[in-house]
Amino acid sequence: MTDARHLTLCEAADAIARGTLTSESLVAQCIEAAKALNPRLNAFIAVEADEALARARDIDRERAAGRPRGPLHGVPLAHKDMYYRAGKVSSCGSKIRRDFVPKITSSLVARLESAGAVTIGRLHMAEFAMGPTGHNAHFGRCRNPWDESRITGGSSSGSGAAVAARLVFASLGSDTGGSVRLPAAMCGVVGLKPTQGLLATDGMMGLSESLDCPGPLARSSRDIARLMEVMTGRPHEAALDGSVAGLVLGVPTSFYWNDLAEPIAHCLDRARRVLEGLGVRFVDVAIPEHGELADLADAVWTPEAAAIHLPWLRTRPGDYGEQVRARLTQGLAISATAYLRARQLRTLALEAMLAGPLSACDALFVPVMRSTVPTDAATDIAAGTGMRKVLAEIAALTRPLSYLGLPGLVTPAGFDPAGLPIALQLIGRPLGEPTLLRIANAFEQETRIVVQAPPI
Amino acid sequence: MPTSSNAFARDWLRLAQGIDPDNAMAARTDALIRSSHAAVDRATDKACARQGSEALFDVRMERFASILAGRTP
Repeated sequence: MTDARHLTLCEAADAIARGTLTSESLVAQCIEAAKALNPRLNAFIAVEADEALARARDIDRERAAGRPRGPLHGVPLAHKDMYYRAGKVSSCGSKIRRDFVPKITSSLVARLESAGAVTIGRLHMAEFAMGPTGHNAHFGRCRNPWDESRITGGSSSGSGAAVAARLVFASLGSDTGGSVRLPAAMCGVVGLKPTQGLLATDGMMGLSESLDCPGPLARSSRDIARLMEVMTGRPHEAALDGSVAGLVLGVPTSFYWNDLAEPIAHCLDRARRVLEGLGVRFVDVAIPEHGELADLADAVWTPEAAAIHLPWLRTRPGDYGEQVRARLTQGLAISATAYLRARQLRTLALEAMLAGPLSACDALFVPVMRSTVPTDAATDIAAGTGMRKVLAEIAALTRPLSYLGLPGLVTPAGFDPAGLPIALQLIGRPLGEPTLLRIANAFEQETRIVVQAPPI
Repeated sequence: MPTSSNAFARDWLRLAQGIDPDNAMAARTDALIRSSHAAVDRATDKACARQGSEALFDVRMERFASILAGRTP
């Protein structure tokens, strides 16, 4: 089977379960492709070929013996290099932890592997998960499979690029301000930032204890649903099968739709018409003040990150990339009162969203970014004077959601005139992931945009 | 921007990083700290003023997690 890498995760897992495909052949194809494309994409920090192939052979023997592991049996995955696996290096995209070997395994990775997933390597990421572009001062930048001159988005850069390039079927990223949703959007795959606290964060590098949120990236909402079912133990996949007719999507009348690039506005208008054709009703909703939520998020995450990094900032400042060190330094200057007030306001902002716009609809329909996918040249800014503005602009429409703790799902909605992906973002109520997945799945089935692979 | 934060940034650069606070990198870091601190202060002040003291008076941070978990806070 020559094109098995282009199956979805669910299709591949089901084919292995039926015996029409072996895990060993699929893992071998993915490893071969990863080795061939990594010099161009830089999506992997390390490929673990021998170990992955040995595990795949074990898994094939188990299936032949009538002992399938679970719904991910034999499927190759890889994760952002900040999910710990006991005894294996986890660099966190940094020089400081380049050779760090944890003693524990992330419970999310453990659940995925218990369900049969085969981990084939460690994926590129921004240094210590700080950066929305895919640049990394120590490992070089990750390149977008749709156009290598463009950024992948970050900080889960390798997660977006590897899934889009069909090197793995899904990956874990982490989203503290948009780090799952931005690379998913820029690389043309599906990404979910679940409700804050739904997925376990143990065995995962910490950045901000208040905002850190693990999340999966894959090539369809059905794949995401299967991964969420494995990771949470709660049903997600069955929820996809209901009709979306009668569901209500809210369109914020402020903030999210201001200053959009024309291709984004045009693409989302078409997406809206597709969903209306499926029976989804759109209503305008007023949203509470959103413009300041990104700054309030900064007041929370930067001091939390600075607190984690303070010992290394004191002893190894030269081992950070310039941009990461500068951003951590910002956190040292946030006062305790500003930090605590921003955390208190978080509760009130969430209550206002639930009592307001999210009481009038099933989810919000918004863009992920105001601009099309930027070039490397436009965003390779290290710690220059415009850094804060450039980074803030990229994540302007994702950071409010992280502050609010609500679930957000992005799925490809089309392409700009240069052939770069454009995505839509759905924002749900707490624990509303099944509703978001159901809407996105219906959209994906209708448009089939998600099956388009980058020309690489 | 309170002067204390500016002084803190310069001290931190000199003491922890051994960097002359008057060099270009120090100036950039100092500018970043000032801009982020000012933005954060503005945002928290504005949001707090809009909510009012009474609304903030009884906020408990565990309420946030309770709402997300689907429990009555």
